[in-house]
Amino acid sequence: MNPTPVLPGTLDLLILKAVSLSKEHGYGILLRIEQISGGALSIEQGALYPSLHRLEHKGLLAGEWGVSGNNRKARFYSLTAEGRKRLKQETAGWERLVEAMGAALRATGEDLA
Amino acid sequence: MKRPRWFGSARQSELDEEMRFHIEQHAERLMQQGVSREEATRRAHVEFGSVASFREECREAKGLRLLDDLRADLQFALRVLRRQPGLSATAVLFLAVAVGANTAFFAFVNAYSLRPLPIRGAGRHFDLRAATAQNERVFFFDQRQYEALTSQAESAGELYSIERLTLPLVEDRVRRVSVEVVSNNFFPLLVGTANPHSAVLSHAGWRRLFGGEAAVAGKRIRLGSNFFVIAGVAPEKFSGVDAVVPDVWLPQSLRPLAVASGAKSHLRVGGILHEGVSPEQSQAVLSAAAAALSEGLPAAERIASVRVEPRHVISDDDEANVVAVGLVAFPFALLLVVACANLASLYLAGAAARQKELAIRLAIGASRWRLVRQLMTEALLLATLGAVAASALAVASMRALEQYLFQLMTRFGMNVAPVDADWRIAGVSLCLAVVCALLFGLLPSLEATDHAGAKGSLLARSTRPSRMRRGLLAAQACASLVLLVLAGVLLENANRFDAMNPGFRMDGLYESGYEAGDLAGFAAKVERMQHVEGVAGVGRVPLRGIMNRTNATVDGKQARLFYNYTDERYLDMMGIALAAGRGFTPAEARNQLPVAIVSEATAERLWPGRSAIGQSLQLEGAAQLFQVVGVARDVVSSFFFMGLDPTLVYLPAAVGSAEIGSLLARMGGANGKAVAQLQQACLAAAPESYCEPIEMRDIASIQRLPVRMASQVAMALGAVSIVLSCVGLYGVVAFLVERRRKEAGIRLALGSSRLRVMAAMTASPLRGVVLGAAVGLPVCFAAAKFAEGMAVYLRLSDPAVFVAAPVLLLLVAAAAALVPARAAASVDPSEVLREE
Repeated sequence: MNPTPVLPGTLDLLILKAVSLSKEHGYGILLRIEQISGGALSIEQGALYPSLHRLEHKGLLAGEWGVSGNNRKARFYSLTAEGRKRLKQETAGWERLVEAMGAALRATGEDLA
Repeated sequence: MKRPRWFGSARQSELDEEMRFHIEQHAERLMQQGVSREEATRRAHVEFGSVASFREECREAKGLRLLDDLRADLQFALRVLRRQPGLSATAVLFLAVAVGANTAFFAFVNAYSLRPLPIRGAGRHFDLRAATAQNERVFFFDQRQYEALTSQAESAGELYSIERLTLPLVEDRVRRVSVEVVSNNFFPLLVGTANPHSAVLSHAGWRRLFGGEAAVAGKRIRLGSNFFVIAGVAPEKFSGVDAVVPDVWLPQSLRPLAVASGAKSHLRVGGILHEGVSPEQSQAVLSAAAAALSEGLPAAERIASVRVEPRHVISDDDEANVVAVGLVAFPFALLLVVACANLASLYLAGAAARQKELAIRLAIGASRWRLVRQLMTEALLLATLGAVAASALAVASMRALEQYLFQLMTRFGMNVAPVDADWRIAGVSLCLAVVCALLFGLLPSLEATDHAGAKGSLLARSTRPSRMRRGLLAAQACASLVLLVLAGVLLENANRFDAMNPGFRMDGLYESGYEAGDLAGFAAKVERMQHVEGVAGVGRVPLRGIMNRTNATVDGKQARLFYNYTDERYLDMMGIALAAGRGFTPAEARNQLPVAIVSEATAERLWPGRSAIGQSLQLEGAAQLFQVVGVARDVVSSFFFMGLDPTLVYLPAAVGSAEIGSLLARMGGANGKAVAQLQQACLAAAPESYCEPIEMRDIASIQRLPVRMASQVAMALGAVSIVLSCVGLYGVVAFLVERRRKEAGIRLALGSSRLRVMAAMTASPLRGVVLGAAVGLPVCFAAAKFAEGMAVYLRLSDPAVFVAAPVLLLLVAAAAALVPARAAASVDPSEVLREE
């Protein structure tokens, strides 16, 4: 199965989710999204960074320099309290959307009667 | 080249590092999957996408884009300034001079009219004044009145009192000391320290009298006939509540030691309002004390109202002050106009030279706003550099200016509240420079970008810049002309006053300075002194303000006449010759007989065409008719600017009578020694008051100096302005010549004379100058005529000035234009035509 590109606007949610599992650097976040989506979702690699910086600027993520697994200097991101709250909200919002979309797409002619 | 570490660049490199890490990690992963190193690196880069555009996006995400643009603008601006060092240096210099002069002027306004008084509760400070029923202002109160006011004021605020004295500081030599006897609450109220109980030196007094000597506290000094212990030196920032700073403050409790017993006090009263009490409320409270204040006073002196006049700064903010500051500010503002116009034309030239660059940038998609912003950034950068230079210049010149402006006061031993630099100075420099930058940067940059954009061609030319250039030159010429005329007019008046003969001999003439009792005894002593050629008593010393006037009736007609009392020696000693008749006799002076001597002008006015001798005068309040016994030559006895006295009547009185207030003495030979002797005699006769003989020449210079100084300041401004204008004009012509070299070459090749080529190059800018002069001259003349109506004694519309100023301006302008134009006339046509 070919990976699906992520829907516009959902990248931020995926990043928040990925970071919520543990502190991670940019490349690690990319791998984790692929991993937790079972390889179904792919991201344009560079596009990750503007999103990361936007989230950091909004105070949802906190970035700090640290050392990666192979002993290299890397920038690690973690979820702030604000980010955790936002993740909960957005997750709930996303589920409602999926449910509504699902209901809408399942609808048949009988439902209109 | 090392990259400058501007703000933001550190973050940028962090971002780059972050993305590099990503790409490397990805490449490594690909390599683990068996891809070759080269291929892995290539694929990692491709899959990542454009680093540059993501970097942009990241920065935009952080809202740093604007900052980046600004940084780029600044960097570019710096590069542009470095590329044109001559132009940049000139611009900064112009700004430094014009803004610096205005800042220095502002420093004085700031010190006296803006900075709060250096006291606690400055915002609630007020002066207490009173007025009689005839609405004559009363500035001084006596001790009893002060006490009545104090008890009345309690609910509104706290009052303090100041009494100014001049005492002799007696050491191996005697020096003048200005003393303020202050109420016992003065220091607790205004400084917040305890009442000192003995003498406190002001910082200025400490410097002046003791040279800032460290161990001054506890020292005993003799002021007048008593000794005082110095309690300490007041902090430098506490200079009292006035422009004139005393040397010493004495608490009220020590007044009896400083002043002859029974001497009436002259208290100036001020105060601090309680929080939340308005001046109106306190005025209402204090007015209730008016009746108590008038107790026992003659009807004419009774106080009808008490006025609370808020004053939060050193100077009174009355209308006259505001008008005066405005008048002085005007020439300074003109200098700023000259500098701005100059900068604008410099800048216009600079922008025109960059037309190609601007056109290219527009062509590859820069917005016009972006380019204007770029040019404005350059202008603001220059303005900032100019402001820094201007502040430095103003601060550096402030001391010298202070000394220059207050030289008279310093000469008479007065301390003036210091003019210090503070944050406002730098603020004003920056504001003025930025306003200049907006003026000189905005117009030309709009013009330049509009021009390049509208034509859309790299070779576009339009006549608009040249018209704007001419307009700017005209504005400078006009402002310079106004300054030149002003300088000329003031100079002419100053020279006229200097050249004016007062009508009496000034050499060696001194006012004795003796003001205590027994003047006759003192006069007798002085007369016997060595080197004294003569003494004379006079009611009012000439040149010390307007002479007294009285109403008179002559042949049934009313006249208002100036008069002065003199003894029988006066005219002779002063060297005032008699035109007819005789002087007073000792008996006439001693007995104050009803005889008079009139000046020639008076005789001519009262009895035209007739002899004045033997005529009689009815003076208001006098029982008998005064008979004219002599006619004296005319003199100046009020102000030089008023000229010879229109009328003057001498009346006889002898030294020792109440009418004769001062003693004049003429010293011959070794002046200095004789004067010291005179002073010693004076101090010995009245030890509790200071005495200093004042030379008549000094009294005259007190009158002349303000006009002379005004003319010097105006001349300095005029000179600076004309130099700036000429440098600007030179620059414009040089720029035009550079641009039109080819045209000059063609003209020369076609047989035009060199002179005509020079004329062609300078015609347009010089037309601007002529236009400015043509506009400025009638404006100046009209303003002068208008002002002459108000300043009666100044001659403001001297035709010579109105001819000389424009001629000077045009000559200098022509010279400034022709020097660079010579370059055009000397181009080699064959060479120029081969260029490009």
